[in-house]
Amino acid sequence: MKYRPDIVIILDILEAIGEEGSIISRIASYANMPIPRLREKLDIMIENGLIYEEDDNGRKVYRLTEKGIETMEKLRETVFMLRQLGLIPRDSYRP
Amino acid sequence: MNINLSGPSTFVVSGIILLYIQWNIYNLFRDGYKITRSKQLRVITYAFLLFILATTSMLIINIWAILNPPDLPGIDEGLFRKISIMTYNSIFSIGLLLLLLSTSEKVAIDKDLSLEIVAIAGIGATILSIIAQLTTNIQIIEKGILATNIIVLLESTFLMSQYILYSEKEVITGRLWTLGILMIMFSRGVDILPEKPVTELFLILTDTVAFLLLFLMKKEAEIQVKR
Repeated sequence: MKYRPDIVIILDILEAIGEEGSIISRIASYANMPIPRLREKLDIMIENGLIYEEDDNGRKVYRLTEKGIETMEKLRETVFMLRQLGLIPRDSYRP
Repeated sequence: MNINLSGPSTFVVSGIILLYIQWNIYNLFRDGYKITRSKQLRVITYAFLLFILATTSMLIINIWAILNPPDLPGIDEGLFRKISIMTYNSIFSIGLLLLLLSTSEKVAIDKDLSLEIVAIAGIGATILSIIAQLTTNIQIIEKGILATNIIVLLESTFLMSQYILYSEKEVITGRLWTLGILMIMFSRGVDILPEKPVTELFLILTDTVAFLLLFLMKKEAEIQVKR
């Protein structure tokens, strides 16, 4: 995977967290990102109210807020359109 | 003075349909931009804003032609149609340029070049639009239309090659967009022929169909997400 537009990166993170929630190492592996860079993105997403952190038996779990779920749907729609319009590279997203 | 209103009226109806579709798609990308602050989405949002501006200018000129039929000798409905098409094409071509730029990694990652480029293109388009508004010389306007048609034809050809490089060929809705670009290319290509086998109305009608195909794609996106 070469260059990934920001919108695809954010969608990948939201999808990695999913409605069940996820720990940082799993998000990093799904979103294919180094943990320090991912942590920056997660902090911004917390500030924007898309996700929140929760302590689950000593593990830090990230979960989507209502706004995060809505955002994920909106971004899926946008990425779908960008794909169809040929405005993002073919290898920058999951088919 | 005798003015035939069927031309401006068809332009106005097509313009309203175009505006509705462009506004709808603009909102989708604007919402995406608000969430991600992505430079690429910002450029795409600007492109759709320019499409909206192009259509609005075309609409205003044609509504004006309907409401205020000109008293000047030699000025008829055909002149208004040409002025509106030249203005529409000039602004539309900057929108297409931005759409092309949005796929550039330089715009998306390294540096936000879009403002500089749109400023240069904007000056050119503004000059063409002003000429279109000020002159009643049909030869000047026809040359302006020819120039903008060539620009739009070249840009849509680049957009098509970009599409072939980036898109998934097997997706049916993607083919709708291919058809849309082909229609824009065809209408401009035919209009630059010396015999001029089609009228300016043909350009707007093909653009309306192209954007309708885009709207169908947006509906497909909504269905895919809800699935």
